Amino acid sequence: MVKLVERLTRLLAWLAGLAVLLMMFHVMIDVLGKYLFSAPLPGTAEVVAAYYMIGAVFLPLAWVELSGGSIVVEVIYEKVPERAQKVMLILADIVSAVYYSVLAWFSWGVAKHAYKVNESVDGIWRITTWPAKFLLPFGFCLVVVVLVMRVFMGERNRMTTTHSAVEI
Amino acid sequence: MERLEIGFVGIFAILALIGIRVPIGVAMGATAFFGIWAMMGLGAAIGISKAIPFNLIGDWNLSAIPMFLFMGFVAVEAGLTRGLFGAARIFLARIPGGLASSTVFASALFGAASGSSVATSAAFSRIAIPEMLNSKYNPGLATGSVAAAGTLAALIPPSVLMIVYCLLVDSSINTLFIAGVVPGILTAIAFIVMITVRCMLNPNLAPRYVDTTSAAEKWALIRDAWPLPVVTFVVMGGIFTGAFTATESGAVGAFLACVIAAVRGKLNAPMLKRALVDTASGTSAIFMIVLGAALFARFVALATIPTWVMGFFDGYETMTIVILVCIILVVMGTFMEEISIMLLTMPVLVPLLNSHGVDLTWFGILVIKLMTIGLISPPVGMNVFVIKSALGDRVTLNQIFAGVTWFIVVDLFVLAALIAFPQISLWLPGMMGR
Amino acid sequence: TDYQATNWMAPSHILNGVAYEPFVKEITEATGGDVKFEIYSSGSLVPAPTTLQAVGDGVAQLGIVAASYTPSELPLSGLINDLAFLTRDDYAAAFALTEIGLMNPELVAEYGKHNTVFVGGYSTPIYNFFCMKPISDPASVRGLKIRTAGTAQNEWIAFLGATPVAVPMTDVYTGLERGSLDCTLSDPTNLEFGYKFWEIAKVVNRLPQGSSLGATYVYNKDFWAGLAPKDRRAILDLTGLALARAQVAYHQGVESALKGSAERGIAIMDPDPAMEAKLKEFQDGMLAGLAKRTMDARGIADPSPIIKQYIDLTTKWSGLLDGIDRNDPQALAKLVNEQIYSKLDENTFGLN
Ligand code: NA
Ligand code: NA
Repeated sequence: MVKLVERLTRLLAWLAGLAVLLMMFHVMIDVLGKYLFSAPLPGTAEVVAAYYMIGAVFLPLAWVELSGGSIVVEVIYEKVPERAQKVMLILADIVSAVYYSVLAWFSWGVAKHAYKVNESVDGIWRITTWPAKFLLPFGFCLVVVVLVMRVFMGERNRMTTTHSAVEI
Repeated sequence: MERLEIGFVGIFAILALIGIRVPIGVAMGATAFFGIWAMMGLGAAIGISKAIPFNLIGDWNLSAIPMFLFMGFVAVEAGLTRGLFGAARIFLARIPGGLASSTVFASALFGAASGSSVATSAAFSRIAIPEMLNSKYNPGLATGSVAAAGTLAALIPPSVLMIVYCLLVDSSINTLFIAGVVPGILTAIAFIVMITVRCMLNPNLAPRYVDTTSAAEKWALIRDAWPLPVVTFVVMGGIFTGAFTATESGAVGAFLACVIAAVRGKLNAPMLKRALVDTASGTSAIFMIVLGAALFARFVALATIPTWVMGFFDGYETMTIVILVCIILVVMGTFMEEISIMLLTMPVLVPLLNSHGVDLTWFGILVIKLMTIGLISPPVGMNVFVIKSALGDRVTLNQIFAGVTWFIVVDLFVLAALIAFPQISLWLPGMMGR
Repeated sequence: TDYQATNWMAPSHILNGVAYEPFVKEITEATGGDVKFEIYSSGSLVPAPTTLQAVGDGVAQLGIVAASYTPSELPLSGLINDLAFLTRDDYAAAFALTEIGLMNPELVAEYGKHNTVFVGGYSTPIYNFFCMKPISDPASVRGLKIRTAGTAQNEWIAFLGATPVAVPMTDVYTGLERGSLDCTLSDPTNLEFGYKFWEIAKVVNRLPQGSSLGATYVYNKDFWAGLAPKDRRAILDLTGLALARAQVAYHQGVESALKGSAERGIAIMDPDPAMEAKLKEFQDGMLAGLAKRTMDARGIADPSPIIKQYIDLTTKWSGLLDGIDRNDPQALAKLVNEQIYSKLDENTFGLN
């Protein structure tokens, strides 16, 4: 179970990285097309907004959580005894898990609805957007699983990623 | 409970949650959800949580941020920054705190290309801070200068914040752009003066660079410095000529950085993968705060806090109102995201200011200046968070906020000057016949 | 009771400053304080694309909805918005949209499915070219980069052999200024207000390239059903005047913008006959294929009857508006009330 979650976390982080790379190439091709051939790639703005941005932001949530990349304020945390720190960590994980569960639940509803109406945006090409909406509940669910496992398993079985998401 | 009371409870709840080390984005978002539930029922809370996330993040205008982050990651991973700062050291060796000052100088130049203050800080956090830390600069000075210098991008055109302001108050974008140039340069000069004086008085902040390199080595360093200026030149040139939008210039810059890295034999699969995953997770961490802040802004609006605040202004003099508004915006800027603040306050303020005959271009410069202070002031300072997420454990949030304090003091002096002498903002637009 | 009204326009925009602010004050008075709206402007409550969903969910009880943002949710309204590319008379388009939206059971059901009630619509003024250099016949626009929004505009610009460019509205100003765009399609009020294109545009070509339609007043259905019948009546009676005022403000805004542009030395050019012929050719082709492609894209039943009804209604309204002073909101409101709102029964409308 832990192994599976870990592997999934890593996979989603890589997919998010891939979204960044594709965003760069897609925009580059659009720019080249626009200036060299007077033929921009239709739908670039829509695809970047609906797919690459959504993928880059929502897929790596669990990875960010595991690698300690979430942005927190430690003014009080630094000054309390270790026991209190442990309690704070668990409380914070529970609050996060509740928040992400709420978002997972509602974004799932939004995605299902988008699928039902075959949601798309009108540009020069019509871009189907509903598949992107499933990335939100997917990313939120995994971070909830990661947080819940951390609350119940504690430090002993704490999963870690190979390197910090934010190391230089 | 009345809505307003729930609003105040909510603000208290956020501070408490942040205090027990709940991630800032989660604290804001969770408070907003339960607060809206308490005020308007579960249906409305669900409605807001469904309406915001996809449309907020899925925005073409925000996609410049990952591109500039990626450009910075590649530039650092491939060692492209080393040469530039090698050369910068040579030229600025004699000035106390020269690397910090050159960061301000470079950020101002880069800010003339970038419309986003956060993206500028993101780019320089990867480029300038490692060099300063390796040169034994005080971490507060190193990170503070990058965080504060990044805000110059919002004051010097182009600027996303200025565009948002103009759309909200229905005034000329072009005029505000021109009006921002002098205040932006003034701020940059004030930063550099402050850095130089502080480093003169306390040399430990920034150890003086002892120049032992030979002339030949100097030439090698200067020759080695070309990649980043080339990237910046292309990015800036693209934006100045109007050829690129922010996202496009970011993508072109990132692509160029990759190509240069490849040409120099520094591009390999593990490095690229690391840069990509780091970019994605940095983007994710930043946007989770943006998301929480966006939800929180709705909560604040529904709690009628802006109306409550504006109730104070009945019957005051124009100048008193402007100064009171500045104080309120500084306070809001400490804990709220900047675009959300403008969304909340401008609709309430504009009729008030119009009735007092306030020049909305001048006021716009004040607002942008206030927003740039908000970007670096604790506890919620986006530029600071960007730097923190780029540097990880090498510095603490406290160190960065401590380092930023000096820049905020300078900012407040500049702000006072902008209030006292509207001509600083209005002279250039007036010259150009607007 | 206090309710929320959501508007993604800036407070000074006609669809907010004219269509919402006085309207909600009048509602408060007419309902004796039963219904009091607080307006959330500039999308500060919910962003434009999710306004429909948010009103249905009760985040706000009143909101402004542009079908172009949610064509999948509102396929029939989206279809009518496609037809707006044919608009020749913006007043007639606005009132035809209002009539079909209130009277046609399929359109009523379309909003009802999202737990909302449509009570009135707007049309922007007719779109023109704003350019950095003069344009005349179709050959003069070939290869130009032109900012567009929406399928019809894109296809029209491509049909001319120019390059349609999709950039955010906020980038159009600098794009024109610095040459990455040669032209934009826009309604003339944007010359003076909002984006202030008269600061940079050199040429306005008045080729009438359709308008953009939207629902000015969409209410939450539970809220609507919960109102006392007399309050529903009061709101319906106020709506005609509110719609008329918005169209008059648009109309006068166009005149003021064109006058100011001319004073600033911008060339206001009449359309070239060859260009008009080309536009007619495109519009005919578009109309012929619209029903089928909407069926294919949105998976709905043949919408030909709705297309016909809307076009007939625009003709009817153009006729009715003949001889009415288009600067007089009261006269326009009288006509709209006679034709539409007086026929609605406050005891049944929007309740099924
Ligand atoms: Na800038
Ligand atoms: Na702040």
